[in-house]
Amino acid sequence: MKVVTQAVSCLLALSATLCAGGFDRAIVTANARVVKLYGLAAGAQLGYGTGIVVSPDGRVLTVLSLLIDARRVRAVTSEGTRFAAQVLARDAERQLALLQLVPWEDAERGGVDSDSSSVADSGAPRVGPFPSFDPILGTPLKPSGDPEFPRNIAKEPPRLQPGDWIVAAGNAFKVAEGSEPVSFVRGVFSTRTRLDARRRVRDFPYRGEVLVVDAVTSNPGAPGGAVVNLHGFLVGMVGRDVVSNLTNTHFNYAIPGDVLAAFLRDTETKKNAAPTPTDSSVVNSLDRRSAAEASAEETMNPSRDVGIRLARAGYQKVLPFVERVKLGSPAAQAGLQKDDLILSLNGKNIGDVADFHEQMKMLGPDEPVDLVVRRDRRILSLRMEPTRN
Amino acid sequence: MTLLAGSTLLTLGARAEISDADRALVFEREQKRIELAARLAPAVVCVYDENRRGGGSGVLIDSQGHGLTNYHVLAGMMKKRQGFGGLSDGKLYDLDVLGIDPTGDVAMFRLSGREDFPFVSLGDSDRVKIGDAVLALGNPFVLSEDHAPTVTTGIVTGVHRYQWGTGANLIYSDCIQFDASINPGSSGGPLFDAQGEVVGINGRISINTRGRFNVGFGYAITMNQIRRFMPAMRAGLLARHGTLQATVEDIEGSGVVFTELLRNAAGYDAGLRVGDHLLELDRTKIASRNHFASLIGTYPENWPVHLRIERGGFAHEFHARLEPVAPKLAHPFTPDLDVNRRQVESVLRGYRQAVLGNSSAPPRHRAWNTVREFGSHDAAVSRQEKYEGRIAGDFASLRQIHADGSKGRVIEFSDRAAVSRSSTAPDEAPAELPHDQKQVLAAQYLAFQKLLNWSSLDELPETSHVGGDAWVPITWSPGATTTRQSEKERVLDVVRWSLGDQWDVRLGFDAETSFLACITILDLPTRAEVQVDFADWSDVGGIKAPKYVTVRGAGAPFRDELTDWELSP
Repeated sequence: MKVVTQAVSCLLALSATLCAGGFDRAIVTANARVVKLYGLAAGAQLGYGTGIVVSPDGRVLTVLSLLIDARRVRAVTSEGTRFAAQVLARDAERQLALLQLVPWEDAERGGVDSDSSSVADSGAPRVGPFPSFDPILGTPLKPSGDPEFPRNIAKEPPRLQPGDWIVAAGNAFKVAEGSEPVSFVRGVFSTRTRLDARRRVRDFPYRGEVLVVDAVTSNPGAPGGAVVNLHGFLVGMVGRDVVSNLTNTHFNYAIPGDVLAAFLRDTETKKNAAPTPTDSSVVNSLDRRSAAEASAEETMNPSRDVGIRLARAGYQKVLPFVERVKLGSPAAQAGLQKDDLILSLNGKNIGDVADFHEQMKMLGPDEPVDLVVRRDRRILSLRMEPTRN
Repeated sequence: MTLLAGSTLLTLGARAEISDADRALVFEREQKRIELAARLAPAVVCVYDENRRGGGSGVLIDSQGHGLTNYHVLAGMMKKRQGFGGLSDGKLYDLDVLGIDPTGDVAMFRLSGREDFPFVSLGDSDRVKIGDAVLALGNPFVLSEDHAPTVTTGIVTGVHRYQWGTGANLIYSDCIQFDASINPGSSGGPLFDAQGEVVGINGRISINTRGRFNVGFGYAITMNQIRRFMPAMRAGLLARHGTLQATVEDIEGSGVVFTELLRNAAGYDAGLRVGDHLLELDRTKIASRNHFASLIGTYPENWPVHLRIERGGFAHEFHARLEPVAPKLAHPFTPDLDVNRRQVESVLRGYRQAVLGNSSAPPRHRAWNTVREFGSHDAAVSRQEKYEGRIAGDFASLRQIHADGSKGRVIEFSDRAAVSRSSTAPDEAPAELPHDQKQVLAAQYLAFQKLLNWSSLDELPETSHVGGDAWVPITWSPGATTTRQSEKERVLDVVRWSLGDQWDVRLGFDAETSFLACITILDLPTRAEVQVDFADWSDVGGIKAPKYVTVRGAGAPFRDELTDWELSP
């Protein structure tokens, strides 16, 4: 008991404001092992998020998103220290990414290539040691790599039972800055299920199993956050925001710990050998097919063809306002601008975003598109010549 | 373990059986929560505008019907300053808007129509920690038909948060973040800790793309911030926040540095200069620009703050009084004189009650002995003098007693004439005394006589409540290190009093105990100011009297220890 007490007080010293309540261990443990991420902001991607430290030398797990495509991703630890984060691996199937923290100054000097695997191969860690989670067992580790709570050394990953408390730690809404503790939501684990079977979702290729929780995790900035049980063991990661196209409801879930572990194992394997198929215990063939379909769906995404993205905000009916126009795209060449409201497409009235996509699907690959749009108070006719490259 | 985190419920790996003891614990906790909600609900107010529309929440904090809510709940009622408040007894009461704090998004109201309103006690929000259990009560979505509040529970998920406002309005500084659901209509409702004390006023949520409802991120203004603004709000005033007129930035490797200071403004006048490294604000180590902005936002205008900075390798300390931040208001806010006068009366009655207790009539004659100690720079006490004090009717005097027991000079003060006289022997002509001697005696006369012998405000000179302040005790000798920050902050109710034509008197009453903490007398012709502190109020012959009176005037500060009280009716 003495050892445990020391461990806890040591953690409390790290962040003096944290303490008290039945969730104290979960909160303190998780807070010390997540980083605040700042990167690319574009459209719905707000440019901030969260990552989980999964090794004492600064490996960070997060969700695959535009955020990490920034020229330089900034990671701020719970102690308020700033690092640059470089992408080591991406997994489009599981929608995960692995980052490596490097000294901010190095990145500033341009001494390290961005998005290269050279960091991983260079051997000796140049940052840390950090408190982290054992990615396989979920055990919270001290910077030395020893378990944080020696009395509770786990032999196998924690298994959640429906009804178990969970705490999710992440920098939702960017409330915290610097060394300020991130935000926490606590709730109950409901069930483990397949996302696809429950929701009609798009734009989300992951078809594996998820942990359904009743805490609100689908907040901006929360994805990539650590989901821990009451003992502070990592059980999952808050996944990308998933919205039902039918009801516009957001789904609260986490990517299970074993999926995270599988991703890390794959990354290790890839590093040592040629790329191998994904661990079938996690993502079975059905999943892969679904993922393939999903990516096919993505490539057929008509918005991409003409180089525009439409607004996503709104309730039941989403008006087809143009949110972005890709530079040099057919849409841009036709003179389409941000904030144009699309009224009709090839003579068909367009009432909402769904109408637009529906009509775009009907088009042949080389068919020109006649648009009528409203810009401020003017009505304009534009013609786009879609080109498939 | 304050929450239901039964260890056996969550063992690693396989689930253990739930024991009867754990089950009993769960039911016990649940029962406690039910009782707590039932005990607190009667003091929660459903706030409606004068057309019985709108929807906000509030909480009653005393039996007279004073309540707290958000400014944005009452903002629409500022024209008539009237509305309605529904309680869980099912009745609708008239609501009057008192003072407002638009910057901090807090306002005070008063319900009428009942003798004894249910109320809750106020907690210490500095003790709130991440993970603490909290209850939020209020009327979200105006769900309640019978004014019984909705209860939600959760935990504290963040402290010392800063949430930007719109310009100078609705800034949530150093606020509490929690995950109990609050939604439109919950605004102004109380956040309770597990003991059922109010630790904050709920007023804000972070929202997602789907609309204006809760996603697990609620924010409450801390009770300890609100406490500082309560004296002004209760007195029907516009409570403004304070600023140093200074900007700090996080400089990599150097910490928090002052980068801009408005000349001839609070921070600059206190001695701060651009380039100073900010170390502490009111004994709290400052970690970031955000941290500074958050903390400074919790203080009212004119509030005394202590700053510790580093300049050229040396630490320096400064004291500043903050300048006001003007909030944006749709209608100009004019304080309600009746509300203010009522609060003056309430404060003065509170003091009399605290001193006299159940004694019906205050003693008409009081005498005491004093040992006066003067502070000096090289020793705690440089010299001692003995005096005899006496107050009867409108007359007060202080006579010096020499070491051999012989009687020395006399200082006198009269309410009507405000004169003083000094003589070394009865037949000698009186000599003019320094003003501060007269002011000290006048302060004692006010504290021990005038403020205890009145039945209607009309008997007293023109008075007004001017808001709150923090008590900064006099450091009467260098040996004593008493400062406001070394003990719990004491918030004062400040009553201003024009005594005669030439004195501007400020009476500072402890907002919690009602005792007089200090009197400041400014002599208008000479601008000479004297502060007299009254400390250690204790029992003397059935009533209360201070043990120490400390004085800061023109000369060296001194402290009188008052002993051997003699009271006669």
